[in-house]
Amino acid sequence: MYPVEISGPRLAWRELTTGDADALIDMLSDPGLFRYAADQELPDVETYRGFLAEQIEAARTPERHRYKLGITVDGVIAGMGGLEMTSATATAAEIGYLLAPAYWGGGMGTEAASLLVDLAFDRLKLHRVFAGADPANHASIRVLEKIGMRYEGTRREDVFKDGKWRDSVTYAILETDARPAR
Amino acid sequence: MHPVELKGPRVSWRELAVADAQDMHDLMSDPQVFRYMSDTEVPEVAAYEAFLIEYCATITEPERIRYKLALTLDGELIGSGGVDLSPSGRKSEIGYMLASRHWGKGLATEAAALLVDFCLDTLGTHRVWATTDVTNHASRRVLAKVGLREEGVMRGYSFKDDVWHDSVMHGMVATDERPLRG
Repeated sequence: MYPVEISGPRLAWRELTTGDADALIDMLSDPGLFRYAADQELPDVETYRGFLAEQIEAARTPERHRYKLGITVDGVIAGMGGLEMTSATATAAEIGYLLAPAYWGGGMGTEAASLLVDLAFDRLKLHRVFAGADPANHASIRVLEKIGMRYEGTRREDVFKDGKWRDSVTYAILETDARPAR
Repeated sequence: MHPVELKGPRVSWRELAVADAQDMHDLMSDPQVFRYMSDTEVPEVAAYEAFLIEYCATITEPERIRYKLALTLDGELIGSGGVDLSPSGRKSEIGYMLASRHWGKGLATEAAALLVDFCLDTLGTHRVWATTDVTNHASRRVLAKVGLREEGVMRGYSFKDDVWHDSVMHGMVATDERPLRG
């Protein structure tokens, strides 16, 4: 499915374009953002633009199984994330997102995540949506619980971060589970 | 790494070859094996041939991330399985199937232990994981015996025979105590 556009009361998800490279690198450079994400080197804008171009090309094929999208608030990039299946015929997808710190604390994460769940079930007709989080990231876990996900287990030493292996908790919601009111 | 050859007291893992297509088809035609596979029907011999031709062309690549192997006993193919590396190369998923006429003799445990040791010692991955259908108690026991611990139950993980099935997540990390082999 391309292009994907979903709007909530305050934010929207849309396809990324190569024109978003500057805004995204700016956002990703925020040191507050990566406390819980796995170690990753930030590419320069030019490399990132090329990477986006490749992704957009892959997104336009019938085999699309990665929905890497941007979050906008009043038309401005406020985050990114999306949904990833193992293949175009998979019945489950993992969701994830990053929100710029300026947008934290107002329920934006919950809105962004619940829109991804709706995309997975209502439009992509998937059966299972799951997400992982650092056990110490209580804000993120709270969001997953609020959008109706249930705790399923803890993968031991699953993510390498700051020179250490950290556990990750897995949360999931099925199409047959109740989705909390939006 | 290529070619892979893992020898246990009784069974061995070796690289799959195009000539294994018929044996792979026969293995999957075993109803007790097929029951736990995600496929809706057993692939034809020609489909295995086509897959193996494509797959075998990739196994000499230096950045190899897929190891699909044949399990043999006295030179006869009695099972199949392998290892998939994560993009970072630091985590690995193992899987295996064994013809049901060879069940109950400890051969699956020997085969799984060879894969685990290959992941930890040869590939140097930190975490080894596997999933099993919750009702597949024999396979759950095998994984426990070779050192993987149950970490949670993933609901609605696979679809088979018109029903959704839950799967157990099993994991082992390099610092876990490894049960005695052989």
